[in-house]
Amino acid sequence: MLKILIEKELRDIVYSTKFAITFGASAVLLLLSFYVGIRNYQESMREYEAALTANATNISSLTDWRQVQHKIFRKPQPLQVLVSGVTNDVGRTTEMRTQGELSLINSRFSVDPLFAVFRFLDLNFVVIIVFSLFAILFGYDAINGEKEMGTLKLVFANKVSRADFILSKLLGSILALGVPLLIPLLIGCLLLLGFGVPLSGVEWVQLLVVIAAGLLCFGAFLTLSIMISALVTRSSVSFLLSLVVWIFCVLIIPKGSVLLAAQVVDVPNMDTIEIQKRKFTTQQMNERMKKTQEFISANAPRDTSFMAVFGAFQDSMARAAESERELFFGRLNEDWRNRKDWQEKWAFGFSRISPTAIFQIAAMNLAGTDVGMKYRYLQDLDRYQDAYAEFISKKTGTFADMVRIVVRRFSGSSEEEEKPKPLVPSELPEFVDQPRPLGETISAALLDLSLLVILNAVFFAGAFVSFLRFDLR
Amino acid sequence: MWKIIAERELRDHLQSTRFLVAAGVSTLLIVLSMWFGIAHYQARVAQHEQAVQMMLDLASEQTNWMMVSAAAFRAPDPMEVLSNGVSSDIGRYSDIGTWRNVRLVRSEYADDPMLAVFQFLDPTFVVMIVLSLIAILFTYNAVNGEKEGGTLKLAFANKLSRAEFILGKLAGSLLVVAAPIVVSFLIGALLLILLGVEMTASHWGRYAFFVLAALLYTMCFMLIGVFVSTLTHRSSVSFLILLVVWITAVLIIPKAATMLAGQAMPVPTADEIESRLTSYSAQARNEQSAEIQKAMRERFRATEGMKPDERQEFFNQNRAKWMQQMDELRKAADQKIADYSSRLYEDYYNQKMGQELLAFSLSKFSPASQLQLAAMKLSGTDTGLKKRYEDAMKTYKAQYSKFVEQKGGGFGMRFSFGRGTSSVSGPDQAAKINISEMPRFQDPVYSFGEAVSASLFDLGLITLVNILAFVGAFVAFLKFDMR
Repeated sequence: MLKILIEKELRDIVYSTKFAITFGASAVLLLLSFYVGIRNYQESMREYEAALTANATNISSLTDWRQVQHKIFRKPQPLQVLVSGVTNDVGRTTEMRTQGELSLINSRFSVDPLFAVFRFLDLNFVVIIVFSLFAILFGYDAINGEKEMGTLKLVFANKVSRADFILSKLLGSILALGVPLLIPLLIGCLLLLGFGVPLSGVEWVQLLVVIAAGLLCFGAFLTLSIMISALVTRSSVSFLLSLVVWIFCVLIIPKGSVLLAAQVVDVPNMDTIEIQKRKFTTQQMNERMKKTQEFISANAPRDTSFMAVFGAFQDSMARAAESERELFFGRLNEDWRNRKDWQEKWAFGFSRISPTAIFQIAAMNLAGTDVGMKYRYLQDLDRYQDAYAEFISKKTGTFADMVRIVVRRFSGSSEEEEKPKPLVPSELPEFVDQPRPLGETISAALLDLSLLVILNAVFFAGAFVSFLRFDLR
Repeated sequence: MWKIIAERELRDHLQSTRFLVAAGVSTLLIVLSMWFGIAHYQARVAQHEQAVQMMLDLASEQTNWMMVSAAAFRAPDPMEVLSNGVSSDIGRYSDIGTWRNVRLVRSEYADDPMLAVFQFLDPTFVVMIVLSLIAILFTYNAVNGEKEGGTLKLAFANKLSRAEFILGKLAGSLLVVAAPIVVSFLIGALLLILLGVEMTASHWGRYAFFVLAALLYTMCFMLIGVFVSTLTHRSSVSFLILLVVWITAVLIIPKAATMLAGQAMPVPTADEIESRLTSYSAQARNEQSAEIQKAMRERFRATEGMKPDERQEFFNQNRAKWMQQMDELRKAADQKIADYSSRLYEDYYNQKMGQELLAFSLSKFSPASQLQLAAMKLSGTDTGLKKRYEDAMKTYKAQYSKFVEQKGGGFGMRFSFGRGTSSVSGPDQAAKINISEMPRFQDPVYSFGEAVSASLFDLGLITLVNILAFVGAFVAFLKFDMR
């Protein structure tokens, strides 16, 4: 019996105009999001490579490593265009220095506010807005609509148990709506292959889990709206109710939760930290200048050999200052980060009332575009900075940034005839952006994935139970 | 007669659950978003004041203007409450100094990616997404629903012209949706006053225009709703069509337009521009430093064979001249770089403006983008915000560099030329600088006139869509098959 009912449900849905229109719209949007993502990725890759080349050209036009302004660029990752998360908000460029704190500048949106106005159409966005709306459109009158049409009585004129009916309703709509959605998703994946987007095996797994999470999010909305339809007698009311739920889940709760968290956990703003850092640096500079003057007074320079001694002195002072700075900044950053962490936990905790927020958090964790991305990347940069400092100090004999120009200007001993050789940029240590390992991303997303599964189960059970009590008259 | 229809329409709506829910949700959301926005604005103001103060405090500790790390901070504007626009995406401040390029860094979203994940809930967003959806909900069955319900025939049993009927219908529905919007923005205005946000006359004027834009936009979706409802005979179909229209207009066209423009008119990236500038600067500095080295060698040569006392004497005599020479060389290089930079950036901005023009023109097919663009321009949070600030900061940079130079901080490492003499005093002995002399950064002025004239085109477009949809609905109803 169940099979017949499911078949009926499938037929009802698939043959309806509603299905044709809404499925068409979702399919187009999904394909568009994949296509736009791919083009976007290719464009970012092109920009990234152009930036690398320009950097190398700049370096090779110089003759002294002391003049080099090396830059590091964040490499675009294929999954970032499907689930953009905070990718476009976090800076992409870093001016590399041997000492001092590194920062990320030139985020996509700050450079091109044009794209920030409407943001990008990514897979994540389509799932959140369109999938959920799609689910509600089919769920809101699943039960009470049949009652209004009189078909419910007709069905129960046969020997059908309530359990069978609601089960067939739920399973039928999940099948009828979920399976068709797989088609554009699969075509999207084929597009990725066809356009030669280099996804690694790990990234494929991550993408598949993101898709699975998207379908789970869809399922949650579908079962939720079927539940609402079984709880409310009139379909017009259940439609309004579902729509209000949708507006809150998709638009209000996520945004509101962040603002709420800001009220609950107070985190000092970045500027206070920044000023403390500047204070510290200025103090260090003053001390260094004082020491330099003392040194110059003590070892009155007489000949060019003074420069070597002076350089060594500067170097050791710079190293000491740098390690002091690292310690101080590290403490400040960690302190701030810990507080911020709490605030983020509250914000994301609140937002998890909404299934779409749960999906988004899971998807961002899987794609590595969650809020932690910035801090992970900064750590990679810090590691690279050490290697870079070593390299520069090997090449130039000095570690200090600040005195480089002066030293160069002052050591006016070099002869004009001496033609210096251009630098070879490939000698620089290579910066490798470590991708997050699969296990880590999955475990970061595990909580949200299981929450989605639980929501599905709860709404499924809720719909089931409420229908058992549904007044058929 | 149309008044009676309008009254009936009004009554019907007012008594319905639909109205209660819709009015409740829209009022709640607008007021809530205003409230959140005000709280956020006040936090921004506090942060801004604190940052400026701390920068000044830090500077006042210094003894040499060269040691001051000056910065210009972007001040928050109360209008950001209405439309956050790109204000969280572009940097909050730029370091200012002779040797530094003006570059807005540390945007709110870059500083705190948590905020970027879900972004802000501003009234523009609520109007754009929620009110348009509500407008559709109220009108999708305006005409064909009455036919399905049988009330259409009933109405025309009386002496009633079709024109009167449709006019009454439209007037009634408009009032129903407009009332909650006006009320919520009045509450919003009250909130602004009560929470002590400093609003100038210009701000209030722009606020009024914003409300007007919101009304026009909502009206536009209502008229489209009625139009579609007269074109189709079944209300379920008209709802679906409207939903697709809504998704296309609100979600797809704006995003797709910018991406299309991005691909049709690629603009060199900021990194490319910067690297061009870097390589040019490096070249100019190299030339400058070669000149200096040449001069230095000459000086060393001149001192050959002198006794230490004589050499000292020689240095003391010539120091002023040499300083001037160095300064001139430096200034020449600075000027060269500045010229190149302004040429480069002008070109870059022109290209970007072309791209932007294309993107926004394409996106203007959708009333949602028209609203968004109008709202951003009224609030001063449009894409031009970045350039306005960069220009103001460049002016300030020139002013500040001149000031520092006058204060004798022209060349930072001057003491190193003292060659062991104690002619330059150490940091502790010197007097602290007087920070009140420092020129202050003035935020660029964005006037009421500028805001309104910038948004006028978009407002006109929304009005045009309104007129078209109105005429469409009117004509379609005259031909509507009532059987």
